[in-house]
Amino acid sequence: MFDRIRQHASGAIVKDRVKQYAFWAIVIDSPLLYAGAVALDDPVVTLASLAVLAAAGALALWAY
Amino acid sequence: MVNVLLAALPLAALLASILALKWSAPRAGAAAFLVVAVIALVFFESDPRLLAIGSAKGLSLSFFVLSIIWTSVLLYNVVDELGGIDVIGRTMTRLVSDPLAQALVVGWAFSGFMQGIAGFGVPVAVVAPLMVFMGFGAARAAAIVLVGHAWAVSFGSLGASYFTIQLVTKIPGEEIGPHMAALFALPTIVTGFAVAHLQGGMASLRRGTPIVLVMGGSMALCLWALAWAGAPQVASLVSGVVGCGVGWVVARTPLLPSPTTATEPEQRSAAPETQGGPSFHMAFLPYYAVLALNILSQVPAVKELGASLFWGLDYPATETGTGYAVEAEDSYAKIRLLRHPAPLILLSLALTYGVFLARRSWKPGAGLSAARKTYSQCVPTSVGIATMVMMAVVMTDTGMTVLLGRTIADITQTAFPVFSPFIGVLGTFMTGSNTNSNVMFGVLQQETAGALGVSAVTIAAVQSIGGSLGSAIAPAKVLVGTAIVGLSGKEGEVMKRTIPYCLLIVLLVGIQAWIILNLL
Repeated sequence: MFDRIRQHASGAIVKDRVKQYAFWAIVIDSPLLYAGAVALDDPVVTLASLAVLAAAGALALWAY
Repeated sequence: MVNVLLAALPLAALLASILALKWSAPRAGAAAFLVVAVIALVFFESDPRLLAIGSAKGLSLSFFVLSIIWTSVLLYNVVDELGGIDVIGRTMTRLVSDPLAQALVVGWAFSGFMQGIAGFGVPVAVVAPLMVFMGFGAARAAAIVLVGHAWAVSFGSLGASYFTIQLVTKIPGEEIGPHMAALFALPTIVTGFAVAHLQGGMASLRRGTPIVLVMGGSMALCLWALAWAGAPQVASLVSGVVGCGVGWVVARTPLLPSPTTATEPEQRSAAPETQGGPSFHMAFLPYYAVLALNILSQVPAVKELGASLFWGLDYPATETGTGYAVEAEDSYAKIRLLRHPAPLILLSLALTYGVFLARRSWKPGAGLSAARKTYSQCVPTSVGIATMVMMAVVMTDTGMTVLLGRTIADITQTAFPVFSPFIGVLGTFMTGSNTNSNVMFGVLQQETAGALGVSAVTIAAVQSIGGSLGSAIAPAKVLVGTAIVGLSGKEGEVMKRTIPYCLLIVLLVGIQAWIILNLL
């Protein structure tokens, strides 16, 4: 229990969660990227999907 | 010139962050991807749609590779949960007890065999933990397998990279196959020397010279004979088996003198013996199944049956503001259900589950536990590979890669054959795949050879050999090795060990090509 508290304090658990968020953001963003740029050819969806990808990249840059 | 420097910046960022800043591969990949995105939009006149298409193509390619990594790591974890890895490791240890012979038979020949049947990081994922079990340090084990399997990549994965270079350059197989296999003789033997040196430094190198020459000679001859006989798809597979057999025999002869413990680093003792567990053949059953299914998938009737069973996304043609055009792609990074390793590995897992269940030796909860372990091991690897492959595809689709390749050719001129394999290394370093490297640079190398008036067959072969050897330092493969031996986040430590060997062997390949093209 004390180990867990110490880990919380050091941000290790938060970072571990963010690592997974970065992964899942990329996974979920994949169909959005394809839909925006290819299937729908919609600039708004394309920009939104690129923003999600950039956010996932930034999260990975911080957490890993 | 400014554009060349800008094109090199993502790669420089990737290399510097991994090697100098000691960042983990997912972090370095994310940084390099963000850098390439900005450069593509600002300096290479790409619009957001082109960037999105490049990124989506990168994710398609990543899915192709990651599906193999996830399934192979799952397969490994299931076998481990069932006690099979202990059994395989103990058997391998008994097969050859000398640490140098273990490094050569398991880390060099057996990993080549695994590359022959599966590839895509599977040899590293399977063999590195075996070597740790035998008593090798984690970083040393990962480095030995990374360097040791590099000779088998081009003709590995049932010939995937070989067929790719043949397809993109349109050079007939009977021309490039035996030529490439002959050129592979030198790196095949030298990777053996590298493995010996990695195991125990100069002492092992001296002691291992006869066995390396005999094993390497047999493997190289076998590789060439199979390519010449029109069976390049099984060349690495069979050569790996031949190497294991020859090594097992030679290790029992005076050709492998006893070690002098005073001059070789002490290897910690192998993991303690555990009682119980399946028999060796039961433990190896999933890998027998993978081998059998891979061979079955090459049968013409099965190929015909599975011709229409595939999944792949279509991508439109793109063009940057500077006029760099990329053709449309149908079924990009096509996953053939009856030929792609991932479905075959899943099928072998299902077969294993059925057999173990029938024999009542399946451990309840083994599947769930293996799945949990696989998830925690593969998430960082997946982020690293996805970001790096996206970076590579955006570089390719915006013309940065071609610009870099042409600049290298312009600078090197008549010395180009020496540098040609390094371009192959670059492709594998960026994408983690010899196949992708051949796709990216195969035609560029062929065109450069034509412009310089040298043999395109030799240059195309050297491109693939460089790509094969680049597997030893590709972050995507290093990540697999570090993840599975418990060294996640310490990729730089392993790469520092593999880079000198890789670069030296690639330089030898380049010099060999230069001699063939200029003096013979």
